[in-house]
Amino acid sequence: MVKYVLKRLAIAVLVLFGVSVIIYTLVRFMPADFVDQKYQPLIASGQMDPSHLDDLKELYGLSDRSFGGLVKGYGKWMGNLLKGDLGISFYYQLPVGQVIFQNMGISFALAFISLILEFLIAVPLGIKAATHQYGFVDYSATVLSMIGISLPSFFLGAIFIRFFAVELRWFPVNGLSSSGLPNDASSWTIFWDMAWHLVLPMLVLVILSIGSLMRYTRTNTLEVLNADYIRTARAKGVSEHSVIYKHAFRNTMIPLVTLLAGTLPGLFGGAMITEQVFSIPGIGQKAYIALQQGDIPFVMGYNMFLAVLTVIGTLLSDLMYAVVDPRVKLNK
Amino acid sequence: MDYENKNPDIAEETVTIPESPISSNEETVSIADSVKTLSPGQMVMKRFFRSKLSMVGLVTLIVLFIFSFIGPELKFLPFIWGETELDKSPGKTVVTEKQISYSYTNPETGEVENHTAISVSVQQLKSNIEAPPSKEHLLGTDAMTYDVFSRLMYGGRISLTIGFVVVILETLLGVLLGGLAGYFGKWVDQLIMRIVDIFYCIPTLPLMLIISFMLDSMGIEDRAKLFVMMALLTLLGWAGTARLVRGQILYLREQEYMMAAEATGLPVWRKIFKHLLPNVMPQLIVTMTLGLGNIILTEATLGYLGLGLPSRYATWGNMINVVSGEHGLKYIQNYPNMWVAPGICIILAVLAFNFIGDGLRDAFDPKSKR
Repeated sequence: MVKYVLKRLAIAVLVLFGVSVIIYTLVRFMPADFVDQKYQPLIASGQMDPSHLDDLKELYGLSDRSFGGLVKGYGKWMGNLLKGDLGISFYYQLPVGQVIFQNMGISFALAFISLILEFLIAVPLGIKAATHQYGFVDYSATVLSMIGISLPSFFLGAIFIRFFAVELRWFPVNGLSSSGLPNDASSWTIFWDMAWHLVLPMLVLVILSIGSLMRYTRTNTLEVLNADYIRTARAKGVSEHSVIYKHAFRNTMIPLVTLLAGTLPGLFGGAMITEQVFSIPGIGQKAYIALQQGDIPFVMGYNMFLAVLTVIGTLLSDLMYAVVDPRVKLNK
Repeated sequence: MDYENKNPDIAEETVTIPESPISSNEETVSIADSVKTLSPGQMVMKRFFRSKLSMVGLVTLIVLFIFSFIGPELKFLPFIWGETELDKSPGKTVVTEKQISYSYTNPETGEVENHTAISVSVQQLKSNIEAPPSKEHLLGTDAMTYDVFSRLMYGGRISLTIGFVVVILETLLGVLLGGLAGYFGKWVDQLIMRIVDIFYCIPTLPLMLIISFMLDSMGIEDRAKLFVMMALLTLLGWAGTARLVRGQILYLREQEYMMAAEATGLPVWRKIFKHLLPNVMPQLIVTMTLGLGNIILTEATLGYLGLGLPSRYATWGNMINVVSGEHGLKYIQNYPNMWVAPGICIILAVLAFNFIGDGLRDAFDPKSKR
């Protein structure tokens, strides 16, 4: 087990190295870099001498576009990373790590609550669909989940805003807090206000991912229900209820538990589009702005953060498999 | 979690491959004549056409294709406009109110009073901007006076076809590399699978955004941008296919019929193309169909963010783009005719591909009872 984990970690380091090289190269080739964008208006209005631009680029480490410069820049970034320093974001003027962790909270809360809701709705529905295969529940659940998978998040968001926020005025249009909130509002009021703002985005996230989870549960349950031990249990006269919820359910949970580990990047990485649609100042929106601005340290930091989460997620889900299912042995 | 919109179904639900057909025995010829037998292929077709959902999907797709490829050719109809044809006819009347504040010294009291006056200007627009739905413009016009309904048709041309190119390319690449990894194993496998891991870990959406910004500022536009985008989607998508093919080939390699092929001394290419690949095809076809839906969603997302094709090109994603940005709320509120229809088209197309993919998966499954 330990050997297996160590080997996987070694491979993970290799993979992450590859990811960082690819992303760094691409980011450095973004022609409109941060310095150009930031000082363009100043130069246009004659407040700044264009010759200073090169000095500034030198300062930001963006001047050398040649292969050697690229390697040097990457080496510097890597050296700092090994010291645990992700650099300072050009746009936010703060250490990258700090920006990520400060804005992660709201994205995490959004994703986490949505995830719990998804599981609470999708798992029972999936089991129901499997036990009533080809029945009404199965068909409608299949069609609905398919629709959920096929919905573009921005379109669903726009529809919700149009209908629930503009038309019915049940929920706010976007943002995270109402402008009318008094300054001395208690933290409870602020909390409820925030929760009220998060209902629509949460609904979007749940609807989008509930379908695949439900179908996954359904397939697994069907597979388990065909197993020999289920037939044995039925033959011994165990009631149908306890066959499904006691014998089958536990085995259905095995793949679901491993699926849980795979949601890691989505949980911490933010939902870029949904945050964009509802103007929620989470990590996804911050990353989108940084991308637009050519903020190299932040883009690098954010993408590597996601890549690390993906690697950990995959490793965890493989390990979870061995933990929850005694039949699986880790070797290689 | 938007950008992980990849269909988890693809990887997780497995399709069991139909066994190779058992050649009919000579002694049973007389019985075989009297009994109608179906080849595995025919059985798959039969099961596929019997499933209602896949038929719904198929019909929807055919309708969408007719809509986008034949629709714009019906120029004689009054409501069919060109993709970038402007409507120069006088548009709606706009009333703008402007508040002007002024101060006024009261001659009686000598005090300075502040007042506001409202100046109202009524003006008819020179061109037909943001027109409401009418007989000439079934879904109105957008901010450029383009006809929304006609652009919906043109949009389908790009949105529906871009997926086919990408999916075929990524399948070819995935089959080639996944096949190599699975068949040869050892260091070839190690090398290719590590590359697959790397591509798997690169966050898709941020990467697409980076490249899009890059192309925009490099001045690569129009068709060229479309090709680069397709190439990129291919590059990001092949890793999943390669994983699937590799896993399947690893499993098939150990089967007895492969040992028989080995024993007969067949050349390597024959073993791969004649005996291994046909058995991977069912999964590949299912993955490709579901992939088509995903590509449409990715293209639409880029369009929505304004990073897809230039805005004068009609794609469904580009048309929804009006709801993003500064004035987004204005359009969400007042002009649903401009963005709801393209959204519905996207959903219909993706849903149709998903229904068909799902139907194919069931049809290919030999355990299927129906």
